[in-house]
Formats: sequence, structure tokens, C-alpha cells
Amino acid sequence: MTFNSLPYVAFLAVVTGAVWRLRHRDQNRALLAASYLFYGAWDWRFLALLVGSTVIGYTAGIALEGTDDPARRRAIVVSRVALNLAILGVFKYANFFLSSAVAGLDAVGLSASEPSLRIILPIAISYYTFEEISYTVDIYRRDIEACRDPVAYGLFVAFFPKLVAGPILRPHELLPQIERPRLRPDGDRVLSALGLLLWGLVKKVVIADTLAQMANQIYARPGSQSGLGLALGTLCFAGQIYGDFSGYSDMARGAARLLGFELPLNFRQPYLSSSLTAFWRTWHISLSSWLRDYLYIPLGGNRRGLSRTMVNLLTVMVLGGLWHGAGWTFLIWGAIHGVALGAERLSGRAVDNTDAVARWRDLPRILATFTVVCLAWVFFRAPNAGAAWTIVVRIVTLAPGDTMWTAAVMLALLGSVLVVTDVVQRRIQVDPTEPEEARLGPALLRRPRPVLTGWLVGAALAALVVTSGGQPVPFIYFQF
Amino acid sequence: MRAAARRPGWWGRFGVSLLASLLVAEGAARAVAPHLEPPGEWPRADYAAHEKGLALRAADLDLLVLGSSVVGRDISPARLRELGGPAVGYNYWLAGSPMRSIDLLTTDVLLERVSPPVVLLGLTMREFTDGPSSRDHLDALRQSPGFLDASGRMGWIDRLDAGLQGASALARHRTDFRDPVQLVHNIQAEPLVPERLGADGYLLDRGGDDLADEPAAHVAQEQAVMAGYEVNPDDVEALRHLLGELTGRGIRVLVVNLPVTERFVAMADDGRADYAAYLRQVRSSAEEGGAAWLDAMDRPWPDHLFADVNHLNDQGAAELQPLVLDALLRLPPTG
Repeated sequence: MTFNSLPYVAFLAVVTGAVWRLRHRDQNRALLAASYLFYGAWDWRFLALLVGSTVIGYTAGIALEGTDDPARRRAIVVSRVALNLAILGVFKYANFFLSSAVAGLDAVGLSASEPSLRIILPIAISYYTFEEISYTVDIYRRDIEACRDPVAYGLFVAFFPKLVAGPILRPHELLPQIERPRLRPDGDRVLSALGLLLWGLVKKVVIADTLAQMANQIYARPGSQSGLGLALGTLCFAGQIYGDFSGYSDMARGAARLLGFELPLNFRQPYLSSSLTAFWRTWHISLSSWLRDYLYIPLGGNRRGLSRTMVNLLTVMVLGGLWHGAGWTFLIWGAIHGVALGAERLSGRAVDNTDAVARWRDLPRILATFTVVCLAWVFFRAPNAGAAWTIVVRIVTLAPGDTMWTAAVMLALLGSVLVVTDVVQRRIQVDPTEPEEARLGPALLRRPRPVLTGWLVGAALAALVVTSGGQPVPFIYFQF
Repeated sequence: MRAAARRPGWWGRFGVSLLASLLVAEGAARAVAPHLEPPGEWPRADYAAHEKGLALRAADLDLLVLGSSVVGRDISPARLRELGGPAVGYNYWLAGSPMRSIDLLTTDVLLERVSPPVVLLGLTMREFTDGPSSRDHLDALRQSPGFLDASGRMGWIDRLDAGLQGASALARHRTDFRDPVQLVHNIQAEPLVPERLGADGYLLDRGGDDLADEPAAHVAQEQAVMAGYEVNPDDVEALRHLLGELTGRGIRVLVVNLPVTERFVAMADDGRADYAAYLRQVRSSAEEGGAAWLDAMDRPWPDHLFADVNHLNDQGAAELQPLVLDALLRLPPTG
């Protein structure tokens, strides 16, 4: 039941309709049941893991708050975080480390047979594990109080709009919204929620899935593609992953808003960034800020000298890469970002335009940043590091070969939609005269001119009719 | 926002604009639609023709021939009958199909309708590739209303979509509109001439009978399919699965490696080496799957016997039928 499927639309409509007929505490119970149903629709077997992890997290939180003994508090937080990481390690990384170890032994001439562990990655495990870690650590730091309501804590972990692909929420962002009675959304909020759902669906189905077809075809046979063709394929993937993930995030926010919740932004026009520092403040914000608060700063951040800062940056980005998946390509992807962030820090030229409108004079920096991001995407998308290197070399040397010109046309059509909407949204978001709520809303719905809105919604629906049909394509970030 | 939304007439003007935009899109689709191949229940017109042809023979079918257009052109059940072969046969070939499509359609649809004592599976290396064209073929088959309906897989979403396609040209021609470059090409292209099928499903002609007259477009199409050739394990697995389904039902199976030109073999990246790999895997799959095996490529097939790089002409087909009939007559009786 993916967000881009009709069963999900029906599920969301039924849940929304039912929830608003209930009182607050029953709303939470109903939402928890709906979230478990939603998760169970993927694979019932892993529901026990989700529930078990929730029970342990809830109990650990209360135990942590119930003692002032520093040693005991440290023991609780360390054992809880270690258990979280162990579960993640078994399900997500066991195969990777085993096969890497076997390859390493082979390389030094020692033959070893690879144990055939067939471990299936439980969907959403990377997201809810990080959320539970932040909950335990925040209680340990005395930033928050432990949640006493098991239903509320269960909903914090399993709330279905954000469960399978984020945003990775902090306790202070979601728990208060769960614990306090929520206002039924008025007409304007319902309209803005529907706008987010529609725009997210367009980004996913119309833009990302179309560009995915181009990227998949080009990346399927990199050896026969020209350098230009591979560059087009990489640009298609850059558009695909942005449309796919930010589309999901928009739909998550839209669904949550219908249910009376407000989820934070996970993307703020990242491809308009004039530096990698700015990029990481606008791309997958919930993960990058989590890594900053729970890894980079505890490691010392930038407070222990330049060389330690460089090491910290590299460590965080490599681990951030590995968060996406157990593979050398993700590790290299993270390392490229770590090295580039370090280089920016060394040069002292990390211009942060996160809170500025896009200007023509920023274009060279924006393009330079986008080039580095795309170079790293090659490693993220390629099936293995060798193939990624071949692609980079063929692009850089402008190797001859096939060029899929359809990709250029589709990129021009769909990429321009992404760029224009991002430029408009950035302008709206940084306009200080706008109230906070309006800044978060999509441009279309902020100053809704009926004729323009009608035409744009009609165009979106027509595009969805053309690009829909067949089996829904899963979201990329579901696999992480 | 609030003020604008509450303004009288806002929703009216919004609704009219929305409706207008949808009507413009639908109108544009309907204007272009006559220049495009009309989509049917099945991915191609020949499926629909086969559905009718097979239905007429379902009750007393003695021989079912399966494969791609190559077997469609190479093996004629009517000619086999004239030579003393099975009395009622039908050639249910699927143009451009990978082995996965043949397996899917046969096991999920055909074997639910007919139970022939003998199945002839005519193959070439083309059915064992995993290029975009093969994947598109499989996807188009899986998602077609005809297949979903015939295989009992049509759910409420598919019925909803079928209804939308019935009402809207935009939905009906969505695959054309998804690719603007191909759309322009399709609008400018000559209307497709439906392929002529005999009453036994046999592909009566390929538009020419001489290799020298082969359209350049067909050569380019086959080159695209064969580029980056590797024997696709999924197609080999599909062959094994199909053989298991057939022999499990007590059906005797003859697998025939059909003739192709040297030019066609050379279109694969490693030419003869790729062909040898294909032959080895298909032959072993056939033998392990309890099927009889005929390698028609054991003898030379000069170019003058071909209509194009991989389809025989009338003379070539006439030479192939006795070989096939001989192998059919030598099939062991069912256990």
C-alpha cells in the first residue's frame, strides 16, 4: 500500500473520516491501530519487531527517568542504543559485512565460503530506529520527559504518514501533537493538505517515475552509452530521486495535516543551494539534522580544531551514506560529500543561501554545487563501485556511444517544472512579510487565484491520467 | 488565502477552469488519437486475433504452437496437417515476446482454456534477452485488460482504469503521450497494416519474401533488441517453468530451435559465442524438462530461404515443415 496507489487513497480517506468522529484519546488509539494495519499490509512478520522495539523503548524511557544515578542512567541509554543499533545491524548490514569479509579473505589468498544468510530488510526500520534513539538520548540529556502513555509512544514510533520513509521526527516535534487534543482542520487546512498530496503525487508519478524510466534504461547499459548520454541519465536520476523523495515527504505532510498533525519540512529546494553546506541544510533535513545533533556534535563538531572537524565531517557523512544501505557505493557517496564539505570548510567559501531567494549571480555556485551532487549521485545509483567509476570516466572523457535524446526532451520538460516551482517556493519561504503558516504552504495555494489554480490542478490531473496505470512504482527511500 | 477562498464565486471559477483544462487536454488527445494505433484490450492486434482463432479450435485441439513471430511465420499447423500431422492445430505466436511472456500467457491463460496433447515450442535466441523491449513487452502484457481479465486478475482498480480508458482518449492513449518524441514519430508514421493470419494462426507473410527487401526499420529493431546480448537467466527459468507446467499436465512437448540467418546471430555482442550459450542452456533445459528437442539449425539455411534476418519465407517454411513433422511423429506417447 504505497502512497501512490488507490488503496492508500481509500485507506487515508477512511482513516481521516473515522478519526474525526472520535474523542482525542480514541483518536490516538485508532491512529495507532491504523498505523499497525498500514505497516502490516507490507509484511505482518515484521510488525512484531516494530511492536517489540516500541515496548522496549517505552520501558527504557520510563526507567531512565525513574533514576538519578548517573551510572545507571548511562547503562540504560547505552544498552538501549546498542540494542537499537544491533537490530539495525543484523537486518541491514549482516550480509554486507559477511560478504565484505569473505571478499577480503579471498583477496589475501584465503578461501572462505560465504554463509548464505537470507535476511530481509524490514521496511521502515532505519527510520523508526533513529527516532527511538533520539527519544532515549533526549530523555538522558533531560531535554524531554518520558512519555507515560504507551499509546502515545506507540503512535510516535509508528504514525503511518511518516513511518516508512520519514521525515525522521524528534520526540519534541511529534509527541506534544499526539498528547494534546488536535483541532479539526478547517477548510483552508484541508485544501492545503490536499494541495500537498496532489503536488507530491505529481512529483512522484509524473516527474520521478518518468525520469526513472530514462535513468534506468541509460544505467542498464553504461558501456554502450556516450558520455553525454550518461550525463543525461545522471541528471534524470537527480530529478528522479528529488521528485520521488520530496514527493513522498509532501504527501506525508499532506496526510498528517488531514489528521490534524503538522510535520516539518524535509526538503527546501536543495538543488538551488550555492554550497554543499547549504545543500545539507535543505536535503533530507530530518536525517542531516539528526546526524548533526546525535553524531557530529557529540563527536566534537567543529569545536576541536580544523583537523578534528574534517575527520568528524567525513565520519558523519560516511555513516550517513551507510544509513542508506549496506554497500560500497553508498559509502563512497557519503565520502564524496564528506570530502567536499571538508574542502568547503577549508576554503572558507561555504556560502549558505538557504534563506535567500535564488539570484542570477548565484548561478555559477549553484551549478558547481549541483555538479558535485550529481557526481556523487552516480555512485548512489550505479549497481556497484566499478560501474560507477566507468560512468564517471565516460562522462568526463565525453566517450562516444549511444545518446538517448528522449531523455534530454523529458529532462527539459519535467526538470523545468521542478526548477520553476522550487524558485517560486524559495521566494515565498524567505519572504519575511508572510506568516509562518503561509510560508510552509505551496505557492499555488497561498494566493489562490481561482482560474490559475483550476488550470494548474487540471493540468496535474491530466498528467496523472497519462502517467498512471499499471503497478505503482515503489518510492526509492522505502528500501532504506 | 482565507479571504480569497471565501470570496463569492471562487469555487465556481475554480471549477469552470478545472473543467476547461481537462476538456482541453481530452480534446487535444481526441484530435491526435486518429493518427495513432488504436489500443485494444491486448497489447497488440494479433493477440485479439489469436483469441478468436483459438476459441474456434479449443474443443479438439491436437497441437498448440507457441513462440514469437518467428514461429508464427515458420510453422504452419495447416501445412503440417496436409503432410499427415495433427488434425487440429493452432499457432498462438506472440510478436516480439520474451520467454517470460510466453510462459506467463500460456500458464495463466491458455492452459486454463485448452488441453492439447502436444505443444510445440519454437524458439530463437531473441526470446532470451532482457533488453528494454523485452521488459516493455512483458509489462504491456501483464497490465493489459485482456490479460488481466483472461487470467482472472482484474481487480477493482483495473476495472476502474478500464472504465477510464473507455471514456477518455487521454487515458486510452496514455502510453503514446508519455513519450513526446515517440508521439511525434507515431503521428507521422504510416498506419500499421494488420498482419495477415491464417485460420490456424499462421503468419501468412512478413511483407516481403526476399532478404534483400527487408525493411531497414526491422533490421534496426532487431539490432536494438540484440545489443548487449546475454542469455537472460529469468527467461531460461521461464522456459523451465513452462516445461514443468506442460509435462506436469501430461502434455508432450517438442522444443524446436528455429533457423535464423548468420547476420542475425552476428547482431549479438559476441555473435556465435552468445548463440552457443543460448543453445546450450535451452537444450539442457528442454532435455531436463522432459521435452523432445529438435535443432533445426543442424543443417544449413541459406539466405534465400529467409524473408528477413530471422523469419523464413514461403520456401524456407516449406522446407522446415517436414523436419518438424518428423520430430512430432517421433514424440514418445504419454506415460
